Amino acid sequence: MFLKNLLLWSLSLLKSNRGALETTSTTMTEAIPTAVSAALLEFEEGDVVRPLVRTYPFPGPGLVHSTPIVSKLTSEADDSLANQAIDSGTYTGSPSQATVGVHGSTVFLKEIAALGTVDDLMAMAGTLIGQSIVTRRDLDLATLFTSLTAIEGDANEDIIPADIFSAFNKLRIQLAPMPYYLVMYPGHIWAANGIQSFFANVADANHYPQAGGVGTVSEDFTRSGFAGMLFGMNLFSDANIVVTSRNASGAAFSKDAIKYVPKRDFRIDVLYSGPEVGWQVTGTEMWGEAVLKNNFGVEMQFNTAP
Amino acid sequence: MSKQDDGELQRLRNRVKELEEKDAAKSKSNDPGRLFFQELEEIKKKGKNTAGEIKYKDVHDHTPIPLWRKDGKMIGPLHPANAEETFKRFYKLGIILSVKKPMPDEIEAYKQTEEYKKIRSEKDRERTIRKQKRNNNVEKLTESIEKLVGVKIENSLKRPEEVGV
Repeated sequence: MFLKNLLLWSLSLLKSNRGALETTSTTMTEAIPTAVSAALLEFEEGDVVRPLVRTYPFPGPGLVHSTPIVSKLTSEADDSLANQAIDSGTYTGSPSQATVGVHGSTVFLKEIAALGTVDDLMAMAGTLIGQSIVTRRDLDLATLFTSLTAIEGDANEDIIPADIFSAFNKLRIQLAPMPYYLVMYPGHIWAANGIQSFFANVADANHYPQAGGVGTVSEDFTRSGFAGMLFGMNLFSDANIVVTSRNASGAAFSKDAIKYVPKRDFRIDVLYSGPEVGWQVTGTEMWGEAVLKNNFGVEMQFNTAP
Repeated sequence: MSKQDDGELQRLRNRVKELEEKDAAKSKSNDPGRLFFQELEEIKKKGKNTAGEIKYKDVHDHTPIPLWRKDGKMIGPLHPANAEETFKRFYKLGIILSVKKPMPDEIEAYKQTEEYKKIRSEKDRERTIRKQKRNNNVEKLTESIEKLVGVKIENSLKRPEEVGV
């Protein structure tokens, strides 16, 4: 009986033994390793707001950076002058205080994962960590826009030319030094109800009527999709601005509206862990941010899409 | 809730129960297709293979927090120290912010108050002026040129509705 079974089993093996011509694509597929190209890292918005605001390096002792704002004096028009106080307490929000903190991200890079990857996984980790910190900083600064008390627009309002002029007006009245920056979410600029729509050849106040033909700013928009400056403001787009229900807050401001206080620059620490067989890769940076002079900035809250 | 709604709700509950029972019965069955995925799932659950996993952790020593206006507008999220400063800044203007997000019914109730209505009417008035001013000026300019030259000016500018804006 055993011999009979053995014979039958041997015959079945012979039957299933396919020749070269019978090779199926399935077996070939398993013989070809999966080819992985170099990875394409997801992009993040860059450092938009930081270069536009006041930077106070803060490397020494202390965690709270304080900037007193000294009130102005009034020149008198007689020959009997009264003493005037040099006072840093009369301006609301003086001193402006920024508390520094740690920002960063860390990944545990397993050696086996690093060895098995086409790319240099360590470099990839470093790039991603760096990008995440840049985004964090921009987000920290951009969210300060909502903490400015002056505001143009509202929830569910489309931007119109008069809004930008009104912001300009507010900044001039508060003697905010020029240049002025207008940082907006991309949808504030290029959405159908965004800034670009100002230059449609339409005669109403939602647009900027070009009765005598298009002007250079609208030409710039038509040609390049962008104008570096409009209505006296240097225009920047920042995709890190948070959008809620198709509405977001950008800002029009002068450099001293916000301060950025770097404590320690970006640093990557790599630590090999024997028991876990891999590297702990940590990127950190220390900084603080605060509203420096509240009346040197105006929040611009508008719809980002129709 | 009306009686009709109650009936509909009960019908849906029964249907869910029925489907759950059906699903439970099926999972006990010896359906080969189902068993294949069930067993694979078990292997993944019981075994451990994390060679390709990379652990990630956010490093921070503070938690940014948002503040809320009564009308539901969010401010921030801000560094706790900045949140304090912002709270004080708005308080001096008579606006009391809160760390608690207002619920939709609270927002709606606030919108019925005199305080909100006053703010809204001022905003609306300002908006109306901004939107009308230039429009009127363009029309006035066209009229004055027509009077001056005695010729009717064909307005080549399109109205918003003509271009679908």
